[in-house]
Amino acid sequence: MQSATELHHLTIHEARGLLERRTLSPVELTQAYLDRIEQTDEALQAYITVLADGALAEARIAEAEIGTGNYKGPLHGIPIALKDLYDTAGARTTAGSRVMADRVPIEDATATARLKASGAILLGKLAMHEFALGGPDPTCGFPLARNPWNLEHIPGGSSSGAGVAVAAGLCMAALGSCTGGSIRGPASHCGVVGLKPTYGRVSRHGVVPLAWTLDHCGPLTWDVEDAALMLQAVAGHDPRDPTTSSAAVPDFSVSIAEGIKGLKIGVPRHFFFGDHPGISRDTLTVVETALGVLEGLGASVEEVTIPMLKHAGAAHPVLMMSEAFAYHQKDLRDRPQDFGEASRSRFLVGGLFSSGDYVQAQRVRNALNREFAEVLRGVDIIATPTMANPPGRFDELDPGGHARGPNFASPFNMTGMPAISVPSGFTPSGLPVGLQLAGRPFDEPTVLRSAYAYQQATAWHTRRPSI
Amino acid sequence: MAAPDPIPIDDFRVLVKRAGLTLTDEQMEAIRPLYDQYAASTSALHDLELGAEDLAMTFTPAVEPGDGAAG
Repeated sequence: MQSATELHHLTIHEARGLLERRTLSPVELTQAYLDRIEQTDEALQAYITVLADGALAEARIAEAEIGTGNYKGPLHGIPIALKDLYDTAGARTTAGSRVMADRVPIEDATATARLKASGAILLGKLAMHEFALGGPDPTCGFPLARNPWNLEHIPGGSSSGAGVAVAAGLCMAALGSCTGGSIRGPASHCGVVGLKPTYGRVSRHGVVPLAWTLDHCGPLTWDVEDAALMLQAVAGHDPRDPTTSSAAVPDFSVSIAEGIKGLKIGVPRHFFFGDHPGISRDTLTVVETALGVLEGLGASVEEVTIPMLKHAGAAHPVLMMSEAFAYHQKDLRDRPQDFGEASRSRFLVGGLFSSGDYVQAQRVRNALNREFAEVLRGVDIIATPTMANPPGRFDELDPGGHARGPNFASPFNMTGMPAISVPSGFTPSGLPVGLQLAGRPFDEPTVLRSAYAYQQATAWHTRRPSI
Repeated sequence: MAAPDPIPIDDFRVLVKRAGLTLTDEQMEAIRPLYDQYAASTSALHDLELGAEDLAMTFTPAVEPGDGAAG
């Protein structure tokens, strides 16, 4: 028997053995997380809905199944949570907006269903920026999640509650969604791992969209092994999402510990380490050190050039906001007052781009894809900072800031490449910084292997906020 | 970076109408600066020489690692 304090610091790969051997009960584990939520979430605001009764009921079923020898695998009895845009049958799914405040789906999203089938326990639905648009908006009608490393700072988003809940031990893992950095951003800002898989790797059926051609689903976890386990549970073709690939899903854990000796890592310094006033020197110092660690592990690090990156920041919002406008147009017309001010403004502006703007942005995207593909013939991984800056303070929020600073994550939403953020250090003021590693399409195994090698050579992933 | 030239309100009104929106003058004034901010960078996209880039491959990531073209 372990104390509740220790239980909420377990990883999935640590807990799975205890659960399978029946040293730890799913009910005991789930109750420990519910207690933790009760104790800390008033300050953190990570959850929109806590499903305590349902979670305990699922835990009792898992306990009975394991007790009768029907152990389903590594997620059986593991308490997880979902960003509140994954449909959950019978439990409201708000997308963080008054527009959907009372919406109760009648069936699960495919990813929800796959996690349940793997035996995971659903603790609840997590806070997010309204409709997954970047930037916390105090007018959205829902409390804003707070960074567990410093409650005065934002946790990143749009999967804000997912980053907070994983970092603070309010769930063992979470699913977020990502249109321009919404998994990797909160992972970086909260000091956890966030994996955006390849476009087409994970079904988006039953997930409230922001922009269809950019949206991805993926996990936030304490470490890289857990990210592989979560991805394994949700990956694969779904006939209800025609964008999912029918390619075979590999075992994401099997090669994770093979090391990176001989791996070639490309760094587009001209964009990610440039002299832009919107890039933090503290962040670059941390990531430079991380690149040295990768070299020390036997990888070669070389500079690469991707000229079209400088135009990605202009093309991405045209794609995202145009598609978002198409989805929200009716509600913007019929009930604009139910949107937060930031979302409403940006969605409306999305309706003002021309068809020529949208097509040109797609052409830029295609050129960006071609340039990345060419570079990835010579290197195996692209390494960059995940975010240009550490998490800012709530009282210094800049409503227009999203359009002014460089976005280091969104180019990989445009290309669909898999990309992960792994904890790589802290700023002098104690805020987390993430290292981003991106790979070839559907080559999550190399991305995970690189991230794991880095993780094992450092101790950043072992540090947790003291809340 | 210098502030972009603001779009004249009459031109902006045409854009709003074309988008099928009905906004008050106050609502239009509220979003016009944001539009101007994006319009400056969007307009630069049209100055790019993209040659034969078309949309046919946009959503087709390579099926296997090493296939190269990321959709």
